[in-house]
Amino acid sequence: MNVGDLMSTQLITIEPEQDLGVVLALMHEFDIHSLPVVERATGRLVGIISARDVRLAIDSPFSSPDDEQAANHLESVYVGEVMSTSLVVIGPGATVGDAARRMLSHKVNGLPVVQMDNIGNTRLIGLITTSDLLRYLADLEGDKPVEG
Amino acid sequence: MQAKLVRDLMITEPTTASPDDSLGVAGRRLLDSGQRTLPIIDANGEICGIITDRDLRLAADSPLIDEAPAEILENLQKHTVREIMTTAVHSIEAEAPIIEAAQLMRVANVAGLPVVEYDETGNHEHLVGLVTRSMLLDYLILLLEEQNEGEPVDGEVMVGEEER
Repeated sequence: MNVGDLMSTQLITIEPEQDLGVVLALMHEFDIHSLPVVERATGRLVGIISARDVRLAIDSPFSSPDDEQAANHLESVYVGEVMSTSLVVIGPGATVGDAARRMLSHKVNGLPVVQMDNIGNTRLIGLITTSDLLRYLADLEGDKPVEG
Repeated sequence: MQAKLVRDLMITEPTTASPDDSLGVAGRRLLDSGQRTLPIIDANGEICGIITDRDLRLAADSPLIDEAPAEILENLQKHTVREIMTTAVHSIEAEAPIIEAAQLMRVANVAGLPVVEYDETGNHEHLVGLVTRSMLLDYLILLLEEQNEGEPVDGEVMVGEEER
């Protein structure tokens, strides 16, 4: 069983030129805390942006008396300016065990799955999370006799 | 191999906090214990909430942008666990199979589950352990390693192959 067999391929992504208002809207809509950042032209994975990156990048909307001002500010900051570019990724041919070890050692809940295309771009092709691994563990355990 | 139970994987005597502890104390306990989930225990010894490292980061960041770490810490001291803890706690019993813990964590989208035991009346639960996503991932790695040892070198792993 490899990463490519377990990963999800229906991905919510964002582009570096989009603003933080769009990021927050997507995070709310899909109830997610981070988004892979992908270049539209090449499909190349260039970064990842988390809800925390957004919070740290903006003036606190909680302390602002003027919500409209906070919203305007969000729209003036771009994903490419605040995304994190040091990425922990994995390939589709890696084993599930490799994915689990990598998530544990980097203390992350998910890994973008990338594949090099024929012109050398690291394309995003999927996402594997600890929830995918828990589902797989449940499948493995479900096939065993119960103790006692 | 037999299916494992929660009690086979859980840590016993996890680090906890009280609802009246400051967020500074809770943060220190999370750091010192290496846990990312802190069960909150009330004066009767019952679980009344849970907080995670993420809850603390949220509390530290939101009202305090641009402040130095010392000031963040000082501010955390002014707030209590009760203010930010999640009170709808998902828990599991020690005798439950691991598969239930894996499914509950995934569906409830939580990082860890307090392991509880009920008294004779069945009304009062108390904490006997903690099981987390990391522990389940460690166990998954172990399972896969054992499985591979039993396989021919070039063999395909057959389990769950048809899924997804």
